Formats: sequence, C-alpha cells, structure tokens
Amino acid sequence: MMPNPPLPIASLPPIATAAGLLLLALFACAILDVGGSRKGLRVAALAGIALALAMALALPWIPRAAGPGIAHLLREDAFARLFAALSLTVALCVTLAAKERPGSYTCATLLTALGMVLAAAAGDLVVLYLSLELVTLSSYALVAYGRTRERMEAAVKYFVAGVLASALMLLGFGLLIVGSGTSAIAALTLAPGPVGLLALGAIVAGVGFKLGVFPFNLWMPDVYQASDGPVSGLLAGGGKNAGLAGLLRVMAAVALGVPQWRIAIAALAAVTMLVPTVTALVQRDARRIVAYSVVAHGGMALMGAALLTPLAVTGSLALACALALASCGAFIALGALASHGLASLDELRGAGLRNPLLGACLTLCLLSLAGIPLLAGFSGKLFLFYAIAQDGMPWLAGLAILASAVSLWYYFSIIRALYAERGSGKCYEVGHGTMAALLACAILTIVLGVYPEPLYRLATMAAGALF
Amino acid sequence: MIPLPFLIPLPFALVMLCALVAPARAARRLGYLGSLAGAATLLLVFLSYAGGTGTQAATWTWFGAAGEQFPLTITLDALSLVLSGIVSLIGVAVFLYSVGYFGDEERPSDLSRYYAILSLFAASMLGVVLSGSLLQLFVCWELVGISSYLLIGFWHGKDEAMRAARKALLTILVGDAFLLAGIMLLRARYGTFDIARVLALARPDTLTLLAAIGIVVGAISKSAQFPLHAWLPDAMAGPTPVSAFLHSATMVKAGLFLVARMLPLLLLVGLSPWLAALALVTIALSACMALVETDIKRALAYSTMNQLGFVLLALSAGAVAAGTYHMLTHSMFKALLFFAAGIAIHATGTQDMARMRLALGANALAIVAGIGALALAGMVPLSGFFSKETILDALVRQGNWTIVACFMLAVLLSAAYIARWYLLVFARGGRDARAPWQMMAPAVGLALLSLAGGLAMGKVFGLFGEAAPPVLTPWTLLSLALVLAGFLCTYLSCVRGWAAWLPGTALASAARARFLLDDLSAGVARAALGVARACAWIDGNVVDRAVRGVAVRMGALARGARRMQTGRVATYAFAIVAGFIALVLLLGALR
Amino acid sequence: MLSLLLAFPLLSAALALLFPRRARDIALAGALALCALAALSLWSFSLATKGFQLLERIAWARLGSVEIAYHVGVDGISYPMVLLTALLTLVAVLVSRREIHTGEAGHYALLMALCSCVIGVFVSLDLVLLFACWEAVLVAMFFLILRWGASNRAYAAMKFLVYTGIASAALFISLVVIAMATGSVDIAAMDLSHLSPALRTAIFALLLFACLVKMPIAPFHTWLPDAHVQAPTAGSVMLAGVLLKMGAYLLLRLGVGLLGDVVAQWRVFLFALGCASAIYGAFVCLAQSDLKRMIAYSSVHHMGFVLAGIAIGSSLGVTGAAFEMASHGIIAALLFALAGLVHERTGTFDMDALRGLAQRMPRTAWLLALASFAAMGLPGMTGFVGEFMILVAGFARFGPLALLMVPAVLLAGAYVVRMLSRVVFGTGTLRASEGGASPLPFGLLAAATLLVGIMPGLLIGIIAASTLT
Repeated sequence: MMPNPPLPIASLPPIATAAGLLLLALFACAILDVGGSRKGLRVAALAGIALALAMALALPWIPRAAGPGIAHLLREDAFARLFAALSLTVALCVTLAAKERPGSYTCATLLTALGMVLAAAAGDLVVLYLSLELVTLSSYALVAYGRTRERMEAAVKYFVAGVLASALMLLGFGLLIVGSGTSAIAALTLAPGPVGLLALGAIVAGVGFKLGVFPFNLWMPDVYQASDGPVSGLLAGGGKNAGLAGLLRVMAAVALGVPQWRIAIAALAAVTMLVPTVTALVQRDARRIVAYSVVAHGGMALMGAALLTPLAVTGSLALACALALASCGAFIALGALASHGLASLDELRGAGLRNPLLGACLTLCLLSLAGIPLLAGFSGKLFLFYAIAQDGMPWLAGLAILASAVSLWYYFSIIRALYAERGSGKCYEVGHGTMAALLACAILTIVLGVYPEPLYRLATMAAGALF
Repeated sequence: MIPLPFLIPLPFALVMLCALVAPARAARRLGYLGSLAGAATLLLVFLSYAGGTGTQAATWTWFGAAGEQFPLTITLDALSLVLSGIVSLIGVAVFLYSVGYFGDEERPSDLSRYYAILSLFAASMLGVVLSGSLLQLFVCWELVGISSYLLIGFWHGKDEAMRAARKALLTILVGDAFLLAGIMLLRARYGTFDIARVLALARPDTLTLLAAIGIVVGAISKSAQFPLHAWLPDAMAGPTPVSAFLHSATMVKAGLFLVARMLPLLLLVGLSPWLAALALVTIALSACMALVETDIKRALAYSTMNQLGFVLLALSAGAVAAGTYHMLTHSMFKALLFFAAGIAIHATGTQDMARMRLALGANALAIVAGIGALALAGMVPLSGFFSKETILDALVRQGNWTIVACFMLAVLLSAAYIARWYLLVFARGGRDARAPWQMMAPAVGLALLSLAGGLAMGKVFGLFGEAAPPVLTPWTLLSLALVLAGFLCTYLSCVRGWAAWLPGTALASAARARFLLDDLSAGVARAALGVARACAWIDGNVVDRAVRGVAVRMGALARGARRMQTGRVATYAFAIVAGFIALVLLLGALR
Repeated sequence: MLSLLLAFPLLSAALALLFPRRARDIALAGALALCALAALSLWSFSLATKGFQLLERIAWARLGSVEIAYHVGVDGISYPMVLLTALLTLVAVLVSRREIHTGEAGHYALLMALCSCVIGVFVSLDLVLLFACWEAVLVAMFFLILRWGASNRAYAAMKFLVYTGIASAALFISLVVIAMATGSVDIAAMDLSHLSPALRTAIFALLLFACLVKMPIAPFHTWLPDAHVQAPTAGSVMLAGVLLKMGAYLLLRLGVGLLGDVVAQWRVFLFALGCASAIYGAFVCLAQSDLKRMIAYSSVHHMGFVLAGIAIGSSLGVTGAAFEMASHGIIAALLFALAGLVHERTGTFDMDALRGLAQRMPRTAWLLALASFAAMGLPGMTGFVGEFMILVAGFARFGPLALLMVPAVLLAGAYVVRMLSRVVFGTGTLRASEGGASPLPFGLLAAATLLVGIMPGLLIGIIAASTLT
C-alpha cells in the first residue's frame, strides 16, 4: 500500500509563505487604500494575516529545520514558527480592534507584522537587522497616528532612542561579522578580548532597546501610554518579542562560551524586573501601569536569555507567548476606554460595572499579567521560574516571584478602580472588532492557563531548535 | 445496658427537654414536673445505693482520640450519696417553691427558660457530685457555672442582675481556669482522669503541688471563700428560689465537694494549714459583714459563706464525714431560711430589713423561719447543733487550740448574726405574711427535716464507716453556752440598745465597706480591661503601623525610582549610551 | 467523586452567570446538591484507611522533567474540611439570599467559585494545583469584598489581597524550591528527607510564613479585622469558616507531614507563638466595641490554639488541632451569620447601640448566646472537645510550660461574658424586629455544633483516618 503522496501545500516553507502572504495583503491594502475602500482594506488585511497565521501554525511541525529555507537567510524551524504564530495572532487582534483607522495604519501594521515574522526567522545578521528595523520604522508611524501633541512627542522620543539603538545594533552586528568572517548566524564566532565584549554589549543595547532591557527601556512607558491602544498592544505583544527572538537567536550562537554573560545579564534582568515594578506602584494612569508591568515582564523573559539553557529558554518563550496575549488585550481595552477620556484610575472608576464584558476581559488580561493561576500568565511564569531555579539561579527566581507579588498591588489597583463603585460615567459603546479581539485574547488566556501543555510543547520544541 | 448510676441525672435532663419544647400554657406546671423529677432522682439514688455496698463505679468512654481515652465515670460512695441526696431533696422543694414564687407578670417563655436552665443545673450538679473522673467533673462544673450565670441573670433586663451575673461568672471562670490547670497537670503527671487512680498514685512532688493549688483555687471560687467570694452576695439579685437552690444549698457546695473528694491529695502535699487559714479568714470576714448587712438576702449570703467556712475548716482537719454532715444540715436550714426570706419579700415588697415589718407570733412564717434560725445557730435539738458538734469534735481531736478558739468565737458570732437577722425581720411588729401553699409547703417540709436532722447523724457517719462522735461532752456544753451568749448579745444590742457605739467602730465601717474586697475584684477587672485596651492600641498603632509602614516605604521607593523617567529625550538617549558603556565595562570586569 | 465535588460549584457559577435572573435559585440548588454529594461521599470514605483515599489523577503538564497532574485525594485531616466547606457554602448562600440585592449573578458565581477553589485546596495532592486553588481563593475573596462590602471595602480588599498575596509568594517560592530539589510536586509521593537540613529549614520557614499570615497568627494578623468588618456576611462566613483553615491545613499537610523533624525542632517556639497569639487575640477582642471586629479577633484567638495544637506534634495534638479547625469553622460561621442578621435588622454593629438585644430579637439573641458559649469552650459543644484535646496533649508534651494555654481559655470566657452583657443582655433603646428571617442557616450550624459536641466520636473517627494522627 503506497503512502499517500504528501499534499503539495504541506511542503511549502511556512515562514516564507507567511511572509509572502503578508506582502500580498500589503499590496492589496495599498491598492484598496488608493481606491478608498476602507472596509475592503480591513478585510484584505485580516484575510492576509489569518492565512499567514494558518501557514505558520497548521503546516506540519518538524522539530529541526528540514529545509534550510531561502539560502540560509530564513530558518524554517520551530522557533521561527512559534514567534510567527505569536506575532500574527497579536497582529490579528490588533487589526480587528483598529476599526476607524486610515489605510496607512493597516499597512503599517502589516509591515510591522512582516518584520516580526522575519526577525524571528532570521538566519543571517543582515536579515535580522533589516527586519528589526522594519518593525521599528513601521511602528514610528503607528505611534504617531492621530498626530496629537502627546503622540508626536512620544514618536519623537521613540525615534531618537531608536536611532541610537539602531546604530549600536549595527555596530555590534558589524563587529560580529568582521570577527567571524560571515553573517550567517549559525556560523558566527565571537572575537576574543574586548572586541567581542564590545560586540556583545552593543547588540544587547541595540536589540535590548526593543525588548525593554534596562536602561534602554526608558522610552517604553511614555510611548505605550501615549499610543493608540492597538498600537501599544502590537508593540507590547509583538515588538518586544521580536527583540527577544533576535537576541536569543544571536546569543544562542555566540554567547554560550562567554562565562560572564550569565551573571551580567542576570543582573540586568533583575534590575529590569525590579525597577519598573517599584516605579509602577505610585502611577495613576492605567496604561502607564500596564506599560511598566510589560517592561518588567521583559526583564523576566531576559532571565532565560541569561542562562541560555534549553529549559530556561523554554521558560522565556512560554512566558513571552503567554503574556503577549494578555498585554495586547489589556492595551486594546485600556485604549478603548482612553479614547472616551477614561485614562487615569480615578476616571476609570466604575467602568467595569458599566461595561461588564469589557471589564471582564480587561480583568482577565490583568489577572493573567499578575500571574494568577489558571490563566496563561501563571503557566508561563511557573515554567520560567522553575526553569531558572533548576538551571542554577534560584535567587533570581526568588526575586522574580517577589516582583510578581509586589506587582499584585498595581494590577489590582486598576481592578479596584473598575469595580469598587458604580461611578457616574456613561456606558460607552465599544466596537465589535475591539470586542472580538478582546474576547479572543481572554479566551486564549483561559485556555492556555487551564491546559498549558500545548504551550509547553511548542516552547520546548522552539527552544530545542535554537541550540 | 446502661448502669443504674448513669440514670441518676436523667429525670432532670428530661425535665429540661420538656421545658424547651413545652407549650406556653404548660409553663407553670413545669415546676411540679421538676419536683417529681427530684423525687424520682432521690429514689434512683437510694436504689443505686441499695444495689451494692461500699463504693461502686461505672465508666463510659465519651470519646477516644489518638489512643487516649476520655471517660465519664460515676462513683457512688458516701460523699456522692449524701450530696446527690441533697441536690434531689432540695430540688424537690425548690421546683415546688418556684411555682408559687413567680406570679403572673412573668411570661410563659421566660418561665420555660427558667425551668429548663434550673433542670440543666440540677442535672449537671448531680454530674459533678457523682463524678469519678476529672473530665466529667470539669464538664459538669462548667455547665453548673453557666446555669448559675443564666439563672442569676434571669431578669436580664435588669442591669443590676446582669452585673451580678457577670461578676459571678467571671469569678467562677477564674476558678475554672485554675481547676483546668490542676486537672491537666494531674493528667500529665499520672496519665489518667480517674480520681480514684490519681489518689492512689499520688506523690508529693512539684507538679502535684501545683495541681493541688489549682484545684483549691477552683474550689474556693465556686464555694465563695476568701478571696474569691465577692460574687456571692451580689448573686442574690437573682430570683429567691435560685438563691435557695444554687447559692446556698447546692452549687456552692460543689467546691467543698471537690475539696472533700480530693482531700487525700491535698493533705498529701501539705495544704491543710492553708485550707484552715482560708477558712478562718472567710469565717471572720463573713461574720463581720453579716452583722452589718441590712438586705435580707445578702445577710443570708454572708451567713452561707460563714457556714461553708465551717465545712472547709472541718475538711482541712481531715474530717470528711463531719464536713459532709454539716453540708447536709446546712442545705436544709439555709434553703429554709431563703424560702422564708422569699415569702417575706413577697409580703412586704422590699428586701431591706430595716423596712420590713412582719409579725412575730404563731404564724407559720415566723415559726419556720425561727426553726431555721435556731438550726443555723446550732441550738439543741435542731440538726445544726449536731453537725456543729461533729465539726467541733474533729477540731478538738486535731488539737490546734488556736483553731478551736477561733471556731468558738465563730459559733458565738453566727448565733449573733442570725438572731439579728430574725429580730430585724420579725420582732418589730407588723402584719402576717400570706403565701401560696407552693411556697409554704416546702418551707414547712424543710423545717421538719431540720428538726429531725439530728437523727441522721449516725446514718451519715455510718456511710463513711465512722462512728458518730458523742453528743454530750464539755465542748458541746461550752458551744451551747456560746450560742446562748450570742443570742443574748444580739438581744441586748438590738432590742435593748446597749453598746450603741458598736456600729461606729472602725471594724464595723470596714465591714460595711466589705473590707474593700469588692473594690479589689472590680479593680482586677478594670486592670484586665486596661491591658485589653493597651493591646488594642498596640494592634492598631504598632503592628498595623509596621505593615502600613512597609507600604509607605515602598511608595517612597517608587517615587524615587520614578524620577528616572524625566520624559526628556535627552535623558533616554543618554541612558542608552551610558548603559551600553556600562554593560561593556561590566562584561569586561566580570571576566 | 471528588471531581464532582469540585465541578458542581463551578457549574453552578457558570449557570448563575448565564441566567442572571435566576442566579439566587441556581446557587441555592447548587449548594444543596453539593451538600448532598458531600453526604453521599461519606459512604465512600473508609475510616480504616490511614493514607489518602478517593484518589483521582489526570496528567496535566510537564515542566521540563517535573510532572504536574490534577491529582486529588482526601484523608482524615482534609475530609472534614471538605464537609465543612460544603456546609458553609450552603449557609453562605442562604445568608446572601437575604442580604445581597445588586449584582446577584456575579455574587453567587463568585461564591460558588470560591467554594470550589477552597475544596480544591483541601483535596489537592499536587503542589501546583494546590497553589492554583490557593491563589484563586484569594482573588475570589478580593472581588467579594470589593464589590459587596461595607463603606471602606476598597482599602480592606487591597490590604487583604496584597498581604496574603505576599504570603502566597512565599508559598510559591517554596513550591519552586521543592520542584527544583526533588523533581516532583506530588504531595502524596513526596519525600523531603534526603534534602540538606538547611534546605529543609528554608522550605519550612517559607511555608511557615505563608501559613502564619493565613491562619492568622499575631503579629501577621492585621489584615483580618479590616477584611472581616468590610466583607459581606457570606464573605465573612467563608473567610472565617474555611479560608483561615487553609493555612492550618497546609501547615499540617506539608509541615508536619513532610518536614516533621523541622517542626520538632521549632516546637517550643511555635507552641509559645500560638499561645501568645491566642492570649493577645483574646485581649484585643476584649477591648472591641464593634461586634464583627470582636468576632474577627476571636478567630485570631482560636487559630492560635490550633497552632499550639499543631506545634505539639503528637497524635493527640494533631487530632485536637484538626478538630478545633472544624469546630471553629462552624462556630465562627454561626457568629458571623448571626451578626449579619443583627446588622440587617438594626443597621449597626456597634455593641453599645445593640444593648438589650434579647428583649427585641429574643431568638437571635439566645442563638448568639449559644454560639458565644460554644466559642468559649462550653462542654456540650464542639469548642470544648477540640480545646480539651489540645490541652491534654500540650500538658503531656510540655508539662508546666503548657500553662501558657490556660490564660487563653480564661480570656475567651472573659470576652464572651463582656460581649453578652454588652449586646445580648441588659436594657437598651434598640429598635428591631426579628420576624421573617429564615432560621435554617443558624439552625444547621447550631445543630452541627451541638451534635458533634455531644458525640465527638463522629468527627474524631474521620480525623483518625490519616497518617498524621
């Protein structure tokens, strides 16, 4: 009995296909934008992203990259696919939520998504650099959407900081390429001596800018607070993780042999976790609080990059995926509220009681971020903290747990504001798209919390593909 | 098959259940039911005794846990027989008396409550005196204390009654705590709750001494001996049947019962002189206070303290039979006196003896009250005379002449104060007192028993296996003389007005001020409350402040950290570059 | 069977959310069904087995090489707690029917979810499952206080959450350390004896902190009075009835069960701490003038006794502690339910304003007196048996040192008497009426405390079915 020949579609390289689909959708949107059909534009964008997501997820998963992809430039391995799935899910939610937006907005979102997908799949330093830059540049435009004074200011801060980070990244990559003689990530070697350390430092600074490593993350609270809700969601859910993916890719190749990498990055991670957690305690604007917390979670993900063992990296990936959805959902919800003028804790009073469904989804996302069990955030944190403790740094895990405990205060401050009393505001209408996106985030959060095994499996495979 | 002794508390328990579910109309009849239960209990007691000779015990394991047993044991020996006889006998009288005491102004639900708690008290009191296990003793002891609280506070709308009830319960709780400590220490030391075994195994070491002290403190709190006595006079705020039953005849005997039961242990660790000292101080103080008291029931309360002091004195000399016999006779004539007081209060509408005007003469009340008074004073041929003689005999045989002398003085004083009581109530001319038969009949019954009580002396001592002491000795005659002297003193001072300076002396004023002991106990209560308030203050201002302080400090930390976010691009750019340089240096330095 | 006990309340919660108008009846039906299920499970529970029974296990996830499973089972220590939770849920639902009139769907859903999570804590044999249920309990209670509480509820809810949340963090850290050190999170099969003494002490210290905050033991107790005073009556019933017992249970299960020798080393300290907390709690209770606050501090007092019982470590001590946990759950629930009724009819908890309750609301007042006597440890009710066993065990183990417990007993009597004379008895200007209140919740609890008080063998038999006793 002859085995059925595999479907031709099954042999498509998932990442390349997904990227291609995104480009197609981008062109379609550009054309439709010129034509003026906003609705069709959104449909095209949504379709493109959905198909790309299907490609990334549904095609058969092979643990190690069987096909090398486009000439070593793209690695079609589990790591890339996990991040592709994550980025595209976030992008889907964001596009759903961004209703009355101009076509350029949607196009910029598609570009950002493309950059995120490529960044995780980069097999070459140049590709990595280009895709990270794509993410950053597209998101400048997104941040500035609306052109209010606040947003322009935030975009300028983002831009200036981004340019610096970009330069440092380039410096680091350049030193690496010069030192190894090639730009293929798999073949990189670190030059001994100060040159190598310089390269490492520069890369951490540059890529860490996206991830949110202290002290390269000072722009994040301002930008997250000022941006449109979906944009913050995109940046928090996808942009940060693109940075994480890039950092892990490069460091898995070069930093394993550097003995002081562990301690230095662990210290950095600890500071990155603790400083925003503490700072957030006295914040009064809900989006700023979530922004700080997102920064802190970036620090937690960095812990896995510090240890660079398969288990630790799995933990980081699990955490990143779990929290991406929750951050995205939280920002979308808070953005929707902020668009009606309810931004600070005092203004939010009673919003949860007036808009039950919105309040419930927002609460679920916040609880997930806080690490309440039976939600995705806890699943991710549990794995990560266990992995960190198991692989040699229990004190770091302990610090992370304490930071998580302290963070309960500010998450629940927001929840308290939402529910403590009815307040005097109106019940604002929230669009269907936004509601759909929020529900998707909330449901996924619950599902991954109650049944985290798929997440763990995928993350393990992804981490395995890295080493 | 449940052993017969366990059934003894059953009649009263059944009355309690009936009272809880009884309809309103039947509330008044519950008193008759209670009397019947008392009679049934008396019958059960005799039957149980007749079923065997000597001591019997029956044990039932209430529960077992982790390999340890927690048994309830009933012991039937001379002591428990006499005391359960007292409880049932006085119970018969009191339940009947209550029917007449409570008029129509009481609500049926309140009456049901009254009879229920009274029955609970009777059943638990029986449990105390029948107990052969320290566990059962403590369980029933607590129940007795709570019933006393609820009965003193029967009219819970009256602040005075509630204050008295509260004071009584708090004092008893202090005693209970000490008793609990004592029981626990004995359990830890000897590994059993069984009283007989503990007494058999007892050795005079520190733990046993501590336990004995605990037991003694528990006993004196229940029996209102110095220094835990201040609750008893105030407890007179309860209904008179309650005062008759609990606070003269039965509950206050529980403490002395405990002393008698544990006497071998107490004597072994050498507490006899202490017991005697406590008894003497109590006797002295209570006699003085009785001599200046003007409330009819309070005076009787002080006399109760006094007479219980006699019993304690006898027990301290090791004379269990004599003490028990005096408990028997005292219950009867004291309950009688309280019944008379109740009738007097009903007739005159006041409790202040200075304002009572009741007729002396051939009316029933004056006669029965007179019998009771004579019995208390110890006049021949009433029961009180015989029981006092047995105590005197025991003290003489012990040989401590100081104690004997004090006892003689006490005899004189007791005759004096009871004569004063009688004269104040009856001898100033007035009207007859009418009372319903339910109140008169028990009084008459008890009066007859007080007249005939001397005949029981041989029987009681026979139960203890001892010979009754001889009745006609020089000491007997001496004490009779002192009794007459006491009467004479009172007659001369109250009727003839001699020694009018007596009430003005320092001793008299101290007695009127109750020797400041009431204030002492109030002071202790206030001190405890002060400690409580201090703890509450600490809780809010120290402990919670520390907790809030953590939050405040975190807030300060946060505000400091916030300063890094200046919002200026230059800061962010600077941070990036500086961070990069610092990171590289860090990596280099760690190599 | 146990999964049914866990699932039923969750089902009721979901139904209550889906059908908001019928939420009250759905919740009542769910609570009744839960009680019926719990009663049925009595048949399956074998008194002779010493280990865990009614086991169920489903593999859940893997953390690297550590296997997490949905593993549930009960033994003699946890089973009475499960029964207690079922009973108290019914009481809470009945109480809420009278008291809660806004946001009913959410309230009953939270109440049933809380019930399920509390049962989850008691039946979990997997540390991650236990922690998950523990945190879920915290969050559910937070929402109950925040939305349906009294005037200062936001402050109380946040204080409750953050204080006990930090204690949970300690628990989480110990969980991670145990997973790291032994490679397993399964309580039934856990063996910590081969770990280094320093590590075992560290784990115990973390666990102890978490439990001391939860039980609560002075000086980590200050979250409790505010939480109780501001919580709705149903919340107080559950909080005092079962939430506090979670801490004691954890200490028994993990501390005495797995780290017995560390407990033995710390025995005297823990015993003294328990007695001190009991005495302190009783003193502060004595000074209160708010009825609910007073009952809250009496919980501190009784849980101090439980800690003393656990610290004694002997079989009788553990039995006494487990008994006292169940007993205090019933008594505290009764006290809070009655206080809630009083507040509903009179509008105040102030003890001076409530004077003379027996004249206006006689049945309520006498039930309150009964409950207070039970709290004091009057024989014939459950409070006496538990305290007595702990006392006997304490004196057997520590000799004269155990005299520390006696002042606590005395002070309990003192505050009960003070409360009775200030609230129940006396004359007052109170205006209130009693009619129309369903006696069912109070009757259930009063009957429970009398029945188990007179026949304690019923409960002790169940408690004996455990390796710890």
